[in-house]
Amino acid sequence: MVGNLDILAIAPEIALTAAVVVLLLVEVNFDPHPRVWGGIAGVGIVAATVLSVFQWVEWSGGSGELAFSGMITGDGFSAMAGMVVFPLAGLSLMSGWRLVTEMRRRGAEMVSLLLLAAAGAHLMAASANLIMLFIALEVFSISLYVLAGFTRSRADADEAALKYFLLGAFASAVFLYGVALLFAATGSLSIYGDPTIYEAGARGIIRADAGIAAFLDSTIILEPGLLLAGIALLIVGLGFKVTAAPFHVWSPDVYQGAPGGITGFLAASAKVAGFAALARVLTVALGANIADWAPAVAVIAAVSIVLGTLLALAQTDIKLMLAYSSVAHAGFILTSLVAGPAGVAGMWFYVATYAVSVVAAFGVAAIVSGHTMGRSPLSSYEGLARRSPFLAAVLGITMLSMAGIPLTTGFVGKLAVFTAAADAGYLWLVILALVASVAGLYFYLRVIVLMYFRPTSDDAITPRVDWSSGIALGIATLATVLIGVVPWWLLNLLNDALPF
Amino acid sequence: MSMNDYLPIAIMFLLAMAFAGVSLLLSRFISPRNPTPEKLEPYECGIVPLQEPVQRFPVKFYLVAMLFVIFDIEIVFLFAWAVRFEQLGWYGVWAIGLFTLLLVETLVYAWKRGALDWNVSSRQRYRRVVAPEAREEAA
Amino acid sequence: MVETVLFFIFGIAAIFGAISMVWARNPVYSALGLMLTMFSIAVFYVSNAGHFVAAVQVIVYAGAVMTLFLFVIMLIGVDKSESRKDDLRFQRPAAVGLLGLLIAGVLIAGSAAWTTGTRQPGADVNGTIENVGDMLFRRWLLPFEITALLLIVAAAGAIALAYFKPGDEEGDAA
Repeated sequence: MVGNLDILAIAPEIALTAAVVVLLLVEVNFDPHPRVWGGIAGVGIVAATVLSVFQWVEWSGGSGELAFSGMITGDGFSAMAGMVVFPLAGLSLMSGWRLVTEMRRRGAEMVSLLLLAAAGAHLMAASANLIMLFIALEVFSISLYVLAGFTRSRADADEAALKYFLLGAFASAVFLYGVALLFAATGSLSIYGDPTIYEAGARGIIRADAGIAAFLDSTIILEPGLLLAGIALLIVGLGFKVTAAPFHVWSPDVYQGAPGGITGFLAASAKVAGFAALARVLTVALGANIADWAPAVAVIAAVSIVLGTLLALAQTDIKLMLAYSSVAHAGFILTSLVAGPAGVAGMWFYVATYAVSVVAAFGVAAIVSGHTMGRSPLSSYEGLARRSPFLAAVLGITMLSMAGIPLTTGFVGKLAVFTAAADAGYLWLVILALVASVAGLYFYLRVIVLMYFRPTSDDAITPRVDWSSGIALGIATLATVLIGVVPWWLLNLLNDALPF
Repeated sequence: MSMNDYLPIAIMFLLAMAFAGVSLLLSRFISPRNPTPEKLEPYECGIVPLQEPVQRFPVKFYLVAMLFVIFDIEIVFLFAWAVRFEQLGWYGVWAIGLFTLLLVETLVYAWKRGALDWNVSSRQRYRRVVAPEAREEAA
Repeated sequence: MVETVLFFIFGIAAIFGAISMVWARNPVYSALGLMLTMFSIAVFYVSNAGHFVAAVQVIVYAGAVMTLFLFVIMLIGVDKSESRKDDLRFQRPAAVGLLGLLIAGVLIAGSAAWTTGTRQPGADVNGTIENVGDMLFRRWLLPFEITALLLIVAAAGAIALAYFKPGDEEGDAA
């Protein structure tokens, strides 16, 4: 009853789960050196990445497959999600390795939770059923709640984890309510439907399920109240995860309070998983109702862009600045979704490259102000170029990319999402986003000015870069520049990464 | 299965309520009551406490409760499998087996990690002492 | 007939339990009120032929989760009653306002006719335990197995957070 296709569809998850099981059992039985955790986790992540590439080779550009009776998809979209999420988890683990070792024995749990969060994130992107999506969302976000509060000796980390947990649980409940209403409105939980009819059970045949998309395509709904309420709640629940305003209030506290070494992963993976899930649910399941949700998404995007940019202007802590700027970036990415399926390739480009940038930025912040620490005032970056040219270069290029300067990935990403939105007729949103991008230059360039044109204070410490963070930051920066200079191959590749 | 199947449960419920009520009423009517100020004091010996001391308790209690809930949920799934055991056959055994295996792994991990040890002194042996050279390498 | 009578008895019990849960000063009464609500909801499941869900409701919610709550309450101290001082002055009026909004929403949503999906629950989607078992292990196999991952996350997360001892983390003033 479980075929090869089914196994391939969840192969990355199998690899990661196996890595977690081995890691936990080895840890409790042999009490190994942290290097062993790193080795096991590395094997798991590399295996998951390779399997995602294999999925990509198998499925990209194809018509898409359903596995596990319509629970999960095999298409370019889910393979691309794996190819983004798993390397991202690897980069985050490398740049946060100091934190893992500083947690001593609890570091094993930290690595396990990171791997399980990555598995949950990929499952979210691959889900073809809303209940499946909900369970994946819970695996993903509960891991993140724990990771946010891992450093127990700081009260603000506890506070961050508690806020993240309470607000996140509330958002999950909102999402689940949306799923229930959508089920009431369409009679299905499945996005694509379930092609398999099972043999007669005790009470007769379990009927085939046409799926939400097919139902909405073939039905004119005269009183769409339930449907609209369900769509709204789904957008709110997932909007929380991707820090879209006005559902972003948790993000500054969490990004600032969470242990520095893991914040990059919290920020990046939530964006990738959240936007992937949002894109599939909106463009496929609710594709027939784009006229209903696109205006709402456009308004949320506009509010996120304006609010995120304005609040980021006022920050004096780099992590708070990054948190509010991530709200603005959530708005930019949402801009692509108003175009429906046409915007998905742009969304992928933006989300993947932004995730790499954000891991690099928080990685630098973790080295400058401590891997277990939360706060990271801008004053400690004054004259960083003289103390550590490498870190200053990484942060500088990352800031340029986030600001959207040409020859970086940020520019290409913005170009892609704005083009998609303009083609869909949302010119006002594009103009607003362009104005906000210009305003955003101020706080990104301010960091560069601080690092390169301000004298370093005498008591400032010289940050030490450990080799694993160094490699991770180097890879992230190199990717930002290289893909920024020659983005075409990736943009072409992403045209195959659409949900079927 | 219909509502009638729940009749015994309802009767049981009523019996339990009746037993509790009757016990309370009986003890109120039968028991002799002649309270004296001494009998109403909280402790018959020792001094009367002025206020409760501030308590700190180990977070481990939550851990045990948490693990209990996890395995309680597993039982619920086993229940659903057990009623369809014959129809699902070996396929069902594989399905529930994988699930149980993952949870047994969790149990082994929690056990060996010392999460089920109540005695604090025996827990100490699980603490890692990071060797100085390991710290140097990590840093 | 039986359903109607049960609905009114346990509906009132559920609302009474919910109100006493919020209202009671003593946390143990709050927990008992919540337990009454959970149990009443289990009865609703039974009267809607959701036998498995009813059993889960009693075993997991009225059983395990309530045990967890009582555990915590007993540890924190039964005698501590909650202070009724509000941190925010407008908290209570705001709560009343929101309650009014909620009731209005329920009334409006309940009185309007909304289009619902095609599949009406028929005899073949009866929530008996046999059917739940079939559905869970055939169609819903993958979510079921992923639940095991969720439980690993819960266990590892609980242990990681609970196992902290001061001085465990380097780089912190413990």
